Amino acid sequence: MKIVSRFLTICLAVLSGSVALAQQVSGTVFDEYNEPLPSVAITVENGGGTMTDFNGQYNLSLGNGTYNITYSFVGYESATKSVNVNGNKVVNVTLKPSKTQLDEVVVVGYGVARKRDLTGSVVSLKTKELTDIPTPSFENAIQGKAAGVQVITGSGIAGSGSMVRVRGVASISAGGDPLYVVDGIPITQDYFLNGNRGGFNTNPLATINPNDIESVEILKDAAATGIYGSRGSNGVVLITTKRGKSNKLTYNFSSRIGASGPTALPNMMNKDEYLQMYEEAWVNDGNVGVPQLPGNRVSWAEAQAFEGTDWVQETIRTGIKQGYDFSASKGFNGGNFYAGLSYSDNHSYLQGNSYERISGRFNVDYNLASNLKLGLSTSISRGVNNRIDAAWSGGFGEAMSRALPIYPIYYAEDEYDDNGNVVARAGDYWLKGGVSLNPVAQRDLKDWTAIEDRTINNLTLDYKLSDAWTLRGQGAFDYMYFEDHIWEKPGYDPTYKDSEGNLLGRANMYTYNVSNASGNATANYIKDLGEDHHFNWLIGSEYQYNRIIRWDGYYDSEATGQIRETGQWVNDPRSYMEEYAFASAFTRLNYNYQGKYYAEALIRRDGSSKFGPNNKYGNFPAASVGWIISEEDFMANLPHVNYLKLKTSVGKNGNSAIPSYQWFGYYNVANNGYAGQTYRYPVIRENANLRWETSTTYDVGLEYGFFQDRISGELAWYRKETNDMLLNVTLQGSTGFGSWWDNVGSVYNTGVEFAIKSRNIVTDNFTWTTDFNVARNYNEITSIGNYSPDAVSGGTNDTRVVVGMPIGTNYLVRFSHVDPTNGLPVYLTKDGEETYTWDLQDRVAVGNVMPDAIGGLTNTFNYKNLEFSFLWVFTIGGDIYDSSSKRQMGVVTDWNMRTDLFDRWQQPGDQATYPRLSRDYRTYGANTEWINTNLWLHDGTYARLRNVKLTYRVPKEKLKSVKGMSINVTGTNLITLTEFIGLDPEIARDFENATDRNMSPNITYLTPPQEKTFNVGVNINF
Amino acid sequence: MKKIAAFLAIAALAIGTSSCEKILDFQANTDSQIPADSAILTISDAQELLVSVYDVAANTYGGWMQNIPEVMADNVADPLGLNGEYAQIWRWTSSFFNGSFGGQYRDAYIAIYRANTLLEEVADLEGATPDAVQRISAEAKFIRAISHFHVVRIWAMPYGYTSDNSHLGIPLKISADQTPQMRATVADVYASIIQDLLDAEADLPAENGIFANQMAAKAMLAKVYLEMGEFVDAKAKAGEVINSGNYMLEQDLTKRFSDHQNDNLPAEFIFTLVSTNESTATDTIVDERGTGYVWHYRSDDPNANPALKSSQDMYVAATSDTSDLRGQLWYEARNVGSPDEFYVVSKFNSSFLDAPLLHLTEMYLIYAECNVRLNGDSDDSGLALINALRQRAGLTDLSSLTLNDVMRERRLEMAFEGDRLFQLKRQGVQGEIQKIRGVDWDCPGMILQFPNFEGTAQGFVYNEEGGCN
Repeated sequence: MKIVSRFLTICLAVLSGSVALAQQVSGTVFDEYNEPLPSVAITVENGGGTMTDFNGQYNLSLGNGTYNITYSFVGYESATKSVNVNGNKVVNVTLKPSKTQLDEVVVVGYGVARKRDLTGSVVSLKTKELTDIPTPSFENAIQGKAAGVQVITGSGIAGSGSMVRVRGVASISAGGDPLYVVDGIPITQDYFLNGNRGGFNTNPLATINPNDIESVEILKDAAATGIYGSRGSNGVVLITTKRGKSNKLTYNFSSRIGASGPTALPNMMNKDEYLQMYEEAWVNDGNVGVPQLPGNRVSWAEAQAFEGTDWVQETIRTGIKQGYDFSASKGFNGGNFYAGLSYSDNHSYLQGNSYERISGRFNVDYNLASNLKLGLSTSISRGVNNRIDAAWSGGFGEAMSRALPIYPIYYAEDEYDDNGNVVARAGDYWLKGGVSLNPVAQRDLKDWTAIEDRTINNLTLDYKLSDAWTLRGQGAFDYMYFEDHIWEKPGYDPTYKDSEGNLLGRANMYTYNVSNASGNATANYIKDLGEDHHFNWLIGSEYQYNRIIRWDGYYDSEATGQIRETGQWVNDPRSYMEEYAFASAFTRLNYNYQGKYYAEALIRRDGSSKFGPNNKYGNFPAASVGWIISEEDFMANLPHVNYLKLKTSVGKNGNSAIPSYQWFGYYNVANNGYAGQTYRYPVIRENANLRWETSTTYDVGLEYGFFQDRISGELAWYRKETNDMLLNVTLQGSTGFGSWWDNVGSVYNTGVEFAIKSRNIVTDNFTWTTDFNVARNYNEITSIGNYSPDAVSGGTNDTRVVVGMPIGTNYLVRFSHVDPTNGLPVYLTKDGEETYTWDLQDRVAVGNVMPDAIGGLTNTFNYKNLEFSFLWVFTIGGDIYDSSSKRQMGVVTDWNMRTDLFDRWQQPGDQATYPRLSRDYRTYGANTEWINTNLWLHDGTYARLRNVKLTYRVPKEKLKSVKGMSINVTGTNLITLTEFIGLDPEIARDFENATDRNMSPNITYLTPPQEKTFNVGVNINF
Repeated sequence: MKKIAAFLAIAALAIGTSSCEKILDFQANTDSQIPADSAILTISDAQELLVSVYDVAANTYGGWMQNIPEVMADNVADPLGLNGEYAQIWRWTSSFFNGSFGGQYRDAYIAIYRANTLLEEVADLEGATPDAVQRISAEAKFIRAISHFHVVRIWAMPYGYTSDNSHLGIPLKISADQTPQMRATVADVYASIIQDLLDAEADLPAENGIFANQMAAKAMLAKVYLEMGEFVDAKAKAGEVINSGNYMLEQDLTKRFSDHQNDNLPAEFIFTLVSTNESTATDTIVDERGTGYVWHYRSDDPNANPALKSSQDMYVAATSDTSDLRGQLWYEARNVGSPDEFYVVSKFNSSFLDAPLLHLTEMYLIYAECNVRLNGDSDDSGLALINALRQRAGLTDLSSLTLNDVMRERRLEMAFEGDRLFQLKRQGVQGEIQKIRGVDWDCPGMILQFPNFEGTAQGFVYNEEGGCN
């Protein structure tokens, strides 16, 4: 308080001093089109400043003298004018769009800053970069454009979630995703709200229309994320939506239409190939006579006579995509608005699968008084996902596994039972193995739609108390309602009948809603002391409350699939509520000396309901310094170096992305227990010490600009040490409990990032720009406390927690070779000795799913009205575990096989990749069909032509009633260079939980490949 | 200035921790959940917790735990199916992934944890009377002892495997403390079991309904002493139970293992895991506890091919004397004469089986075995007991008693009750036999591998793998 009042005293003194001699400096600020620019920040070097109004006009009261006045606005080069004030003066300024990113103003936590003034590590992406690739969800457009940010696009299923990792993975059981903040408000983003039903995680980010986004900032180091304290350790993604700028009413309309197909197709065997291989296995096993096919659903003779079904072709198609965006924006007297309306319908290449979104946004700022501004941002959207079963759940997944080419889609003729009764008519779906063996029937007999409604709203009040003080209050409500309903038509389950034998259908519904309310209040004090000392002080508090309510049930209906119709629920719908809250206070002080030396210190104190009473609160400090070397006199000798900044930071962040109530121990009470008596028993152990997972990050960065920013970029090194990892550990059985959340062990991530932007050729008619970035990250688990690796198993995906190895280590029995004499697989024991026996005790660390390096290369060519750009993304190193291939290319079972298996041992002397075919896993020395070995582990290196785009801007002179128009053609994922023999080397499969998501990217299990698309688009301004 | 002060005051409020307590306090809101720190406050809460101790014990000792050693020994036929977990155990190749048997292990320790919680908290509870505290503590110790006993027999080499029993046993849990526990020696585990049972014997009431009473503790002591080769003590405790007159042999063999009948347990049952099948005006309580036996052995219609069947060796032993009622009543040959002839067990053909953990028949057998081992049954008191069992089975009396006679009767009487492996191992320790089903009685596969969740504590030592050859 003391410091505050001292500042205030000084502030008031300065104010009263200057008012006495006031002269008026006024004028208008224009943009490159000579349109007035509202909201331009105007600062006077020796103190004071203002902003332009909606007509781009401003007014400053200054005493006589000479002043340097700086005009800055997001995306524009700042301009500084030296003004000699001697009486009232008019100064008009035109701002140019920024060529150098360094003068850019970027959004940071609870404010904005010039990129030049940052001591933290921030990547900023603007509308153009976020919408150049036609994707339903904005995060997919980040891929390859931000150094150190790994984006793995979800599978080819429409609406599936991507995976975003900032600077590696630092968590095992707690969520490893960054914090997403829209217009200052942390939003709900949980891929597991709907589990992985159907082999698919929903993507809550897909309800945000990418065209409404003005910019996305990715905060990477502690100096940048520190202000988000306990939730910043995985990075923070700040999303800023568009607002009205020009004082003329501007309309924008854009539309695209496109087609998609899979990036790769599985090489499943056709009927004849399948039968040949099956028979070979039959004979190899010493069987005689006519082979018996799996499940005896069709006889050998029937299979031979049948023409065969290509199930893959039966489940795919050419997906048609379309999108329409319309927006209007205007600055008006007293404010500005932006209104957007969008519709898109993305059909994936999987039959029956689409994601449709309709969304609207309305953002408005209104000046209630000259120093009081009200801002409203509101959006409402509906995502309609027409769903299908995928991966392990069916559809395309079954087409790659149990839907054999010998099975028909429909009965060719009437089918009778032993008593001569008709059980199926010709033309009925062939359901001898149930719907899961007939993906066409499964799809046709099931209506599955997920509807997601979402609205994100916030109200901001800015009060400019004085030139130095700005107060801001923000309240927000983010609400999401999700409904997954499944209607299994009569016949889907042939055993489900009424008492008269009529087939019945069954409806299932799963719903949840998430209410996320938050508010924050900040005070910002900007003050210059003399010419050299510049202060910016922020203090604030925040509260967030989040509630999830789930409600599931199923309902029978003979007549309709309308689950919403009132009717008798078969079971009591299960209802469940989960709540959590965060309360925080924070402060940040920025100081710079002469625009040359920078320092920042911040601290945030967070309290969360998720943690135990002993550790409910945590403190998260960070400090950083920066030095703009190019401002030093001695740099005058190096004229080609126009900008050089060295910065370093250290700070502590937290991660709290775990389910609620995990510290809480409780008992259950139940009646009619043993001997009919009431009993009570402990269910979960209390962990009153449960606390934040904390990361301490060290960062050193060098920003550079050469030849007047013809070449610019950034080089960074970091080391992030994470302690007290939140792990869902399996407890030692003799404790009498199953599992609990505990703070255990540590991991570190370290890496380097390099980004360069080069304007290779700049002429009036032709420019060529290259953007390149590459990042290397290494992580290593250094401790898992007193637990053994068995306490934190990697779940179903064969990755394991091994101390001294990276997160996501493939822990497998080693496959050595196929013995040429007998065709048997030879494995290696733990000690490297050859053996015919597959034993889990012989598992060793043989690989790792995390890539060594990731990056992207963008080249943009402009020739007159044409723009051509293409983006390559690449991943170097990292292993892919093709988990389903152990069944597609292993023991011959009830799965179809891949043609890779042609390279199998057939006779003594054969040097083959795969062993002799067998239907008996004992032949392979195993006790299960699920023989995990590193035979299925592949190098995950790939390069992919992520995006190609050709844009033609119709020349202004040819346009009549419109201001601007462009036509574009884009192609995504057209070329993939890889040695991976499976489908797609870029893999984010469906995950079971956060642990799975952290440890098992690059594990594929019947995962549909991504899609390649062609699109044509048009963009009109009027 | 005022506004700033007000603003900052609000911010400061948010920082102040006291105001945050409520806005950050959320608990799972399900009616049946009680926060751990307020769950056990009164003596009736403790009684309900004690019921849950029996509840979890009844889950595992209703045949599930007993099936494991039975399958390892020679009474059960090869459970067909390659992946089956019983098949792994039958072949002595259990691994730490063998999930369902991990469940029995865990249940035993859940019972132990709850018992420990009772022992630590019961004395201080509201309404705690000395009698109630004494009884609840004694029952908790009884269950803790039987749980440790079952686990140590299955997951560690037997008592006597090393001369000082310094070989690795199991984690010994005698407090509710949650720190990870390494394996105690077999000597320490048995010392704790004996102490618990002596305490229970001293403090349990003579009558306690279906719950553990003083005789149950004595019977359990007899069983543990026998396992330890302490034949004098075993005989003494078995003698006390037999001579108490509280129990009588159930003469109808078909009733020894049968549906629960309104609390009328067979007169020879000393401690039983009871099923419930009762209809009241408002409720029907259906609670099957002998499922470990019933679900695996039951062979009446429609269970034509149960998962666990009698071995041919066992079947022949039971039916070679055609007048033996045990062979007639408890076995049935199917597919007779065909190559896939097999032998099912009908001992457990029941829905609501009351599963005895201790019965008078076993006390007779313990007493007789000890008397033969100690003095060659010089007073013929063992002979009398064995002849009583033979008479019930429709056989003629023996005139004298050898160890082999007792062992034969023991195998026939206690077939499929999980006793056979320990009978053979006891003889192995005594040097009387070398082989079980053709392999060394003490080969590594004769004990079960620990489940992988037990090895979640760093430094935990698993059993040797490699099975038996």
